[in-house]
Amino acid sequence: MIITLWLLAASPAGVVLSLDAVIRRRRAGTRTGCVGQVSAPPVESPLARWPLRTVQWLLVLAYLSAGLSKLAAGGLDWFNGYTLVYYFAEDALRWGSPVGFWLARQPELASALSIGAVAFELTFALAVLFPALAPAYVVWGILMHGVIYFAQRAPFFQYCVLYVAFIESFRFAWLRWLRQAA
Amino acid sequence: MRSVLRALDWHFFAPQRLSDLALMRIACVGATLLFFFPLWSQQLYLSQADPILFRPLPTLKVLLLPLGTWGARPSAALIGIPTASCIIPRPY
Repeated sequence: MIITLWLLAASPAGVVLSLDAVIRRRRAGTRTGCVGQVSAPPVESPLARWPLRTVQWLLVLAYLSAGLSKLAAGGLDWFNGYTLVYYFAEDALRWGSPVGFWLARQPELASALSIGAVAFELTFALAVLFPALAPAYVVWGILMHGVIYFAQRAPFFQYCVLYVAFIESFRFAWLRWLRQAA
Repeated sequence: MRSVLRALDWHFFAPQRLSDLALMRIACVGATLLFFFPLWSQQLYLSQADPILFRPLPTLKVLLLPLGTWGARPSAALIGIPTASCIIPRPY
C-alpha cells in the first residue's frame, strides 16, 4: 500500500476528482476573470496507466512469490490438505477462530483450498495479460482473502483495496454485460 | 525488438481515464487513513524485532534492494525519513 501511495504521488492522480483540481480551476478562473469558463481537465492521459499497471504487476510479483515459496518450502505436500489443516488448527487455537476449527477437521476441503490458493497465486499474471479475466480473479482473490481472514485471522485487506487497479477491466465487463442485457 | 518496445509502451502508456487513477487514489488514501494508518510505534517495533523473524518474500527483497543489501531489513531511521517527508505540507 505504501509503495502504491508513492506511485500515486508521482502520477497525475490529482488532476480530476480532487481538491487540487477544484483549486486549480478556481485560480485559473480568477486569473482570466471568467469563472466557470475555464477549460475542463483532460478525460484521458497516457500517464494515467503506468501507476495502475505497476500496481497490477506488483500484485503479480507478490502472489507469485507467495506461490513459489509454498512450492519451494512444502513441495507437493502442500496440496495433500494436511499441511493447510495444520496451519488452520494452529491459527484457530491461537486466535480462537471457529471457522478455523471447522476447516481444521476437513482435510479434503483444505486440499482443494490449497490447490486453489496456489493456482490463484501462480496464474494471477493472467489477470493483467488478459483483462477480461481480471474481474474473475478479483472475485477469486477477495474470496480467498476472506477465507484466510475468517479461518486464520490474517488480514490481507490491503490487497483487496489494491484490486481497484483493475477498475478498467471492471468497467469493460460492466459495459459488455449491459450490451448483452440490452 | 521494436515491436516488443511498442507493446510495452502500449501496455504502460496507452491513454487511460484519469478518473480511474483518481478512484485508485481515493480508495488507497481513504483506506490508509481509515484502516491502515502506518503507526510510527508499529514501524519501530517491526524494525527492532528479532532479526530471525524477518524473512521477506523474494519480491520484497528486490524492492528493498535500493535501500541496502539483499534481504536486509530497513533500519528505523530509514523508515522514519519517508514517514517524515510524507507529512511535510505541500506548498501551493
